[in-house]
Amino acid sequence: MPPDIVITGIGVISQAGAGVDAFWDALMEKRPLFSDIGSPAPVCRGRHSRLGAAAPDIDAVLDDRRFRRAANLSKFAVAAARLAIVDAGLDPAGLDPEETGLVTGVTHGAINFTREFHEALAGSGPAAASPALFSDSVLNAPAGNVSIAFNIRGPGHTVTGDLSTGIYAINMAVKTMRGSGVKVCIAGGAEELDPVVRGHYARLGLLSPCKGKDERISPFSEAANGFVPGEGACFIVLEEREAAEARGARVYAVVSSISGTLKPPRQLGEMGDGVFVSAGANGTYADTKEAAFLKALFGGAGGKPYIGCVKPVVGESFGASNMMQSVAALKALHSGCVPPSMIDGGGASPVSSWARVSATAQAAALKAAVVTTAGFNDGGGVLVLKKP
Amino acid sequence: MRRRAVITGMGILTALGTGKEANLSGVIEGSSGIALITSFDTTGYRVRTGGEVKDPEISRPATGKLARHDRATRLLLAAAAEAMAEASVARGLPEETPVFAGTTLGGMIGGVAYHRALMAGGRPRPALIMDYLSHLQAAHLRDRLGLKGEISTVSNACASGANAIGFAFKEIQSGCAEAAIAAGYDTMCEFTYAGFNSLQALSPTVTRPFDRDRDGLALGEGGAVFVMEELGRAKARGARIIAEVIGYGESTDAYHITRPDPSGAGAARAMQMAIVDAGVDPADIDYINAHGTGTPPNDSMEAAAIKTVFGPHASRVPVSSTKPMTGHLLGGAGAVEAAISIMAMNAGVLPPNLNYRTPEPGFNLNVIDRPGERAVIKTILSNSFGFGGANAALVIRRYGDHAS
Repeated sequence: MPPDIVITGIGVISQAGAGVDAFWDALMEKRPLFSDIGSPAPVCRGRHSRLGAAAPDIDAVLDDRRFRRAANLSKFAVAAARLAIVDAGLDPAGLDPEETGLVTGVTHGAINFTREFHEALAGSGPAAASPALFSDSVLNAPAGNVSIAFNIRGPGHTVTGDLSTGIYAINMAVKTMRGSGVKVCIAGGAEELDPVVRGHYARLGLLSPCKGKDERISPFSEAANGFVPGEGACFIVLEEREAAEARGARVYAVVSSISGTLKPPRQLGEMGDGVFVSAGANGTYADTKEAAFLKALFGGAGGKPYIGCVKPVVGESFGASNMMQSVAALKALHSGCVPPSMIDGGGASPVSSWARVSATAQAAALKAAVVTTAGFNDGGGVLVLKKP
Repeated sequence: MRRRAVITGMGILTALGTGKEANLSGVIEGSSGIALITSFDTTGYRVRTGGEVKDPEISRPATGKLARHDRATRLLLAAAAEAMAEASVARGLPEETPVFAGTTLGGMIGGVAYHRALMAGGRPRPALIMDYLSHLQAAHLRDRLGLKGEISTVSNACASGANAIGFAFKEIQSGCAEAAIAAGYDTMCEFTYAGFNSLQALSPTVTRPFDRDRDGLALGEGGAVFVMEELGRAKARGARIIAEVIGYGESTDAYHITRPDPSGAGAARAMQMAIVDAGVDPADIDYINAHGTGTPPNDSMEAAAIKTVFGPHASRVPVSSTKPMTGHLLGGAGAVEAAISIMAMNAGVLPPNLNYRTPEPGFNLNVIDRPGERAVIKTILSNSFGFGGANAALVIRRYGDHAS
């Protein structure tokens, strides 16, 4: 039997600010973190998408001059990883370099630097192309910067995907710990807002308000009209259970199972009452696949799980999304309180046939939490977390 | 008892040619696929050469859904077709077989075309960019193979291809999978060309790894795909076994975002881990396929790392970088170089380090400076190091010597 892996630290950089408390408060208060970030391109039929969940001024948060010229993506990642390490009760300057691994998930990468580098190249020729922008546009630049920030010299990986990137990252962290034997692995994901990326999703009809109505994310709803994009970063600290317990660490949850596809987890016996589903629904066609999966999982006999969606509050932040869903799940397990579902219609929603949809936060005696995601083109994923 | 992971199918596509035969004969003859770049205008660059894949099938315009495929996907699927044909498992792979792919750029060629059109004030076709994100090529491969398992795309810069093989190896060894697909690929794209040009990393003359006068790298493109299986399963179905992956090591420099740690400590740790993982001694390694990019910092660092790991044996073990033949394939390098090393091992010929003239004082390595040198090669070490301080090493051995 491979050793149990537990989660002992969480760190979030979201539009709510730095830290998990600000993020959790926004979820509990049902407070969308959206603001007008300008319109990149008209979406369907002349409508414009203006909203986004922009991260706070990261330079005010990240007090580390080594990264002052880095892409925002790297700054978000370094800041969120630091929060997670501190939250785990570890010393950011005192990690065991060779016994610590790092897995970072990205979708679009440092897309602003990528775009700016190419704008100069395509507009003014090769002599105008900046080596500094190029170096930091590489997909694993955030991982490189995080490894430098905390002197992490064990296995390091950058994994890519779309909506399921975070679950891929945790999956790869678990594989890396088991394959290499490192006792600690920092895993996370990061995402940046960019006008070209927003314009493209607008063209594809995936950006709210593509089908009219208000600009917002309506998960699992007939009224859904696309997603509102977000940015930020979110990291967690994974540890071998024995090592975590030996140092008296607070354990948020045990990683019970993880899959980089929408595959039903084995321990179906535990499902139902006492479970919180932290869903990835973002108001697009991906919701249909996720709802069908969850309904098949929970729709039979047995109790109904609680359900919550973070994206109506924090937006769709791709590389960071699953990690933020995971943090909501970890906080719910740890605090015994589940945030409002953020699903339109409450008890009238079709979701309520298989889950407890609630407009308010509720106290709940949870045994487990399930994080799900159905990707646009990746495989989706399921993470099952158990109370320690 | 750890489960053993063997390679039963292999496909490769580089500037040396399409397929194993063309690549092996190129390696034996010491040919180079580096030539003038034709896929974009190199006016204004310090350098004009690179290793492009010349296969017209890859460049032929496609229709329907295939028209959405970036050149990256076309390279990947072509290499996969060869691997699958050799493994003859078209219908026989378990549905949940995972795909591990390594790439640096993904579908950057489409992304660049889309962005250029946008900058020109147009409304580019979304189809141009539908294969841009770097996980999509592995998704296309999974779909093409009819699989429903996990796809994991590793983007650890120039180590990615080796990481993909390493993950597939560990997945089989640990019992998580009976079979796995591992792949590494990247395209020749002006974006990267301009990036390496801006970093002054491209050789203005010819790339000559480990040479005293080395002055940079040559970029390449292509990919390699491996069908890997648990030994018992492969034997039970009577598969022809090409080689066995026996060790994998990985580490991070935590030194600089593009430059390697000059001490080579991180690279040495990855090599050492791979050798220990394989349960062999450094003296058992018959050939090192070096990362050997031909840049001054990489090769100095790598020579130091080889010295650390191999001690007195460092001056004896044959070493070469095959990048002067194929160009540097970035995320594809680790996979393509593993494939080349395996073919060379099975053919009993050491791959040459082209353009090597003058030893760098202090390196004291046994650099293979001419093609066609015959040797008994039973166990090889393949190194891959990348931006972000990513280090990976693989130990692969000939199958048959230890067939129990």
